[in-house]
Amino acid sequence: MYRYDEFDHILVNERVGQFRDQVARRLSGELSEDEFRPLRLMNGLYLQLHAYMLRVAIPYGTLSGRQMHRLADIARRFDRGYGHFTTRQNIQYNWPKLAEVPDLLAELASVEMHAIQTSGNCIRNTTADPYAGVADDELEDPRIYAELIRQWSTFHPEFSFLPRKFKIAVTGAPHDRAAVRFHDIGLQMRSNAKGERGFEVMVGGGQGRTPVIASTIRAFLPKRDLLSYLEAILRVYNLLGRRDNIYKARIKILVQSTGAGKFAELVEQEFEAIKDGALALPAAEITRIRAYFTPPSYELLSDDDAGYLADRRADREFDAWCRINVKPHKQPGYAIADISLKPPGGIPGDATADQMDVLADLATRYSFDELRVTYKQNIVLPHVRQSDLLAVWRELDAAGLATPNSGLATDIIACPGLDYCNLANARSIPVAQRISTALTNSFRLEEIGDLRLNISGCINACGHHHVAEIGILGVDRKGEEFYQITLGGNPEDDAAIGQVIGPSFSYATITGAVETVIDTYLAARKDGERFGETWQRVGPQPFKEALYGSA
Amino acid sequence: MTGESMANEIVTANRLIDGAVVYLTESDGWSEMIADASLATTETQRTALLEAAAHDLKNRIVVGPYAMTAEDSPLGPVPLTQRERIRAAGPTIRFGPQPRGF
Repeated sequence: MYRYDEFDHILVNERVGQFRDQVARRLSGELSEDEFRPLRLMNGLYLQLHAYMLRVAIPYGTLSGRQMHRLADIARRFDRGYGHFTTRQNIQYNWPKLAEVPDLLAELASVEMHAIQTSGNCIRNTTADPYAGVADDELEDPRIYAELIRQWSTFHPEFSFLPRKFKIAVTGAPHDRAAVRFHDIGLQMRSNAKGERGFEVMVGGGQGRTPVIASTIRAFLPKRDLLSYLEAILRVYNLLGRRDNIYKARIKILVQSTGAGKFAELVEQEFEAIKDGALALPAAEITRIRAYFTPPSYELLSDDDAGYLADRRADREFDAWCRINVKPHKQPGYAIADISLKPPGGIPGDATADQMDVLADLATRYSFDELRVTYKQNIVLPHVRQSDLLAVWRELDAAGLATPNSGLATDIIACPGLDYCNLANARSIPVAQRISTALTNSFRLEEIGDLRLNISGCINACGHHHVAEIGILGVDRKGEEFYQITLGGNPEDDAAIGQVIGPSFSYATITGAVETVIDTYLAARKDGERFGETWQRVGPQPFKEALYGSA
Repeated sequence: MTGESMANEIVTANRLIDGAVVYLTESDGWSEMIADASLATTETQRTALLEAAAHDLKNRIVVGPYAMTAEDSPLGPVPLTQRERIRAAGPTIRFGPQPRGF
């Protein structure tokens, strides 16, 4: 795993000191709220409905047991004993006190963590495939490049005041698990005809009030040019992106209004001018960063360990968890374990401090001290020996962390919604809880199979409803909550934006409406079809009829 | 407009030090309980509340003060929108560590 160098340490500690001074000046009256707000936002500190909220960066979603333990300590000391893992692979604390935030940041800095660039119109935390380095289909570990991007983008003076926030995602695998087509820039590793590796560069994707699938502006970018090309994209955006209208300020609007072809030309022109400059990545630099992501020293094992198979045969609950939450690992005899933060009726993405400690301990003992946060708001233990899975599962189960629903309909992405968020129009969490409870109690989750069901509490779409097969969007009607259903979205390969199916439902009727949609899908699907495939084949009509009658 | 009828309003804000939702009280203090909020029924009262709030904004007690409509009830002012009901009562969900057996 990447360790901070002396520059990182100095930068982060200086920033903590600087923010401590800014908080003191705010509390003494030297700074007004208008002066202080941009400063606190630069440090990830928002003011939400009931309290401040601090967003902490987890670079490319990777962290160590020690870091997870510290996140747990912070949840106990500075918050109310829990934290919320987000779709950008970060963690948010919902109740920090302003006067204590500098001490909280100092605690984070002691384990090489911070909240820098988790808010504001800058380049945010770069996200990556949560199975980076372990997926069996991967060409290269994307975190090498995410780390290079982190170093390039941190405190980048030219890009600290962009027209709007800017999000980059990277995957090193042909199967996209990082939703790269829904980011300002998506990077997917590809091989060219000569067998060299580089990146397909996608620009202008995003969700929010204007959902857009990113356009490919470069089918193959050599690795050495990665940072120069990103710099060229950001320069074009910084210069031409709109600053007069917050709703039209994201790069997706610029790419749409100039046209992807013309936008690509502008980027290529800028790139030509800088590609042999200081940002060119020599192979030696890539090798240096790669060394930080050297695979752990796996034992030489073979797949399908006899003890593991016997354990599965002996315990149906363990077997169900293995079937649903355990994924193939590139190293024989090892497994990727998805840890669901979506228990039946639970709050998607929330973990208590005690649960974080359990996860940290399990990582240390069974997963080479490594954890991942996923954009689906779950946790991954990336390197577990198959023969250790039963022991891991037992400890997870005792901590309420063994829900077997990875990828199933109750693996719901939900934003904090009106229970916490200043921007929300409607609650998301209790809707997720009701749907999760109803579907769990129907005892047909496995029959329904893999299904993406996401909920956003407003049009900003933090809950990824646009890319869900069943998406739910909360809207406000005269102070009351209503929920619109969109169908057919897909965040990954074959990216698609969901389509609004009809008039919205009340808080009381939305759960039933979702069950109706699922019943309609089950009645219409052919063998092996997932929801999106049935939707493609049968179209909206059967769903409209089931929800609203045939009139 | 003084003295003319208007919708009942109270003044709310977030406390600077911890962000807590607070309401301006009769004694020009701030309470976390909406029941303690001072209810303005005239434009004059509303203006007085907002002036007191502006003073406390300047004095770093609160941030983002604003007037919101509320209904009077035997238990004190009651908000009219879902957003303000949730601000007043807190999240509608059980969050964080739960007692054993929950």
